[in-house]
Amino acid sequence: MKKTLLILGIASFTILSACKSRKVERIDPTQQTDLSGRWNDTDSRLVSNEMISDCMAKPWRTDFTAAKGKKPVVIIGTVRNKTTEHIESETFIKDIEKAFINSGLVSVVQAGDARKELRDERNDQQTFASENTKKKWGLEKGADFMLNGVITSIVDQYGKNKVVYYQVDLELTNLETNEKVWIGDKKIKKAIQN
Amino acid sequence: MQPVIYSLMPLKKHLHFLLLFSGLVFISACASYYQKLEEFNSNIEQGNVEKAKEFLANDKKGPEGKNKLLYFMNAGTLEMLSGNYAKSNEYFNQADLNIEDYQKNLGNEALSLVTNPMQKEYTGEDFEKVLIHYYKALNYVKLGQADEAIVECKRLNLKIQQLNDKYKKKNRYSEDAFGLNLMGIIYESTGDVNNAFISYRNAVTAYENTYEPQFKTPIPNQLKKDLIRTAYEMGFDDEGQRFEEKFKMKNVPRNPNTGELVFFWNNGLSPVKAENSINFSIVKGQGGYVTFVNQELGLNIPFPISNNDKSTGGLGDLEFVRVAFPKYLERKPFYSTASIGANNSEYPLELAEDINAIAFKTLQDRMLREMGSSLMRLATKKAAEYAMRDQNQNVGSLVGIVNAITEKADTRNWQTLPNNISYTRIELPLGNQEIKFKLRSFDNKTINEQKFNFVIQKGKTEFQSYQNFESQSYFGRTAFAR
Repeated sequence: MKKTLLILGIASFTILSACKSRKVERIDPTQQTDLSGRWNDTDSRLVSNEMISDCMAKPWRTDFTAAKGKKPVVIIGTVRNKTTEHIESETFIKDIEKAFINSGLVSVVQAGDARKELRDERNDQQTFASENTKKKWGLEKGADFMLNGVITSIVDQYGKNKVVYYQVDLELTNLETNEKVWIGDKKIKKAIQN
Repeated sequence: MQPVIYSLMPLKKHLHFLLLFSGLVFISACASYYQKLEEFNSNIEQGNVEKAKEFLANDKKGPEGKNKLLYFMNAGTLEMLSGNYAKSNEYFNQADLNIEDYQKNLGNEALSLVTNPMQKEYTGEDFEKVLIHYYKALNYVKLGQADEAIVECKRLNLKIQQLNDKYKKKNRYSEDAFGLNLMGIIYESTGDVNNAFISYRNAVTAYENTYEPQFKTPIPNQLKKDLIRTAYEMGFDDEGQRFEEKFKMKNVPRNPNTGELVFFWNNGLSPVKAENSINFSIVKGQGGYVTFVNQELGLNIPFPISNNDKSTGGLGDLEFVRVAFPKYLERKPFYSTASIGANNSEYPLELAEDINAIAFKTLQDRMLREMGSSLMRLATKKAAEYAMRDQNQNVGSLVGIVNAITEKADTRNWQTLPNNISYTRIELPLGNQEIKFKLRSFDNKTINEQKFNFVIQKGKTEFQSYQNFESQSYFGRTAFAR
């Protein structure tokens, strides 16, 4: 009887009780949080930190400025992803662009869809904007270098253990001469135990 | 006077249990979920989408009750079939958020323990959760919202990753090859060839490792072609060559002066769940354990009976129990194959997702895991019954009857899904194009032909899906060919 009472008591009590409550808190975006072992924000940050410090320190920039007497202009090409994961390269590419611009030593010009949008707008201006405010064609700043790269990964797993190795390679190439002036890489190796 | 008061006392004591139990009887009904929705299901089976929609519209409790996920999934499917893609996605988005935000309601969990699992909120089968994104993504593509379709691909990817993490290799359905393939198709249609390539390559692995051995669904040839083509388009020539050798096929580059059509065929209707009872005899063991035994199925499940007080009986007194489990009943489709006539050629559609096979295998997998909770439920109920019987024979018998009635399996599932999904990709000349979609019955006697018209644009992909409901049998009933 006691047992019956207990069972039914628990049942009727819990019927009245509410759901588990969900907890959400904001945390520092630079805090390392590893949950699944897949590519995450920490990996992206490691890549951008490494690339920025290496790229700004290497001689390509000062060589160019010494020869041409101006700051280099960079356009962002594609970062190809050869891994088995869908990786957004934009997160670290944007960090690099920002570092270039904020340093005041390297200029960056628009590329891709955003450039197409600008050209469409400039095209519209030729018809709709007043004579003294419309922007002229043929005055875009031509880039001196293109930044592109590739992300590769090697996955090795056995039983409950998995090792993922990522390598991000970025290259800066002279648009006139095809000369590679800088190669940066970041290697990340993660051991995941289930 | 004294004796009367004395005899009333125990009854009074039991009154609140009686009330609770009779309440539970009302919540439980004997029909399966399919049978409860007889009218809705027969409308669907006859292809009467509008009537089925009316039925849902009249279900006022639908969007709020324990079956709200099923309501949203059914409503979304029906709106999609009527071509109301935006409305369809409103429902599917609700279903999607419902899955994401679902939290166990402890009250209902406990109630389901003393009654039956239908008292719990329906949370969806894993493959159902994945297929929501199939409909959502295609709806967005149809609405011309490419960015939203990509969002669906990403959500789909997260669902598939959850699936991998949840089961590792223990489960037969630990990865969704069709979902990965679909992601590739959609990424490619938006011009993101790189992500398309990654999805196709992962899809090939999933077909090889899971879909072919478990569900007899081999890698579609179309997927092989798509993988090789995107590898070369990305400049991954080494990968392209590797897959050309592996699949023994040559890369066919895209003709830049054409457009494409991707056609999905949703054939028939998914299986429905029915109830299956298994009888166990109980063997008492040493050290507070009993073993539930069914020799026919070769099942031996030990169960702890802590605090077993001999004077009050409890689990130790049980000898024989009946447990209810869900089982699937197939609704075998009427049509077996389909092809598309275009460009003076016939293009066969290839099986990409056998929902029927996945449903049967996943349930089989879950069976053993579910047996634990089913027996727990039964043990709780039986223990109460025996304890009662010890106190008062009549009340105990009554509780026994209540228990027999409430012992039920969860027979809910998404019943407007197709039995299987096939697809193909066709390159078409620019401008107005008519294609002939042909369905063939299993006996080859019936060929159903439907015409579709598309305006094909250079470098663009048109999407079309087609659903037919005809089946050979519904829930044990034989259907007539129409």
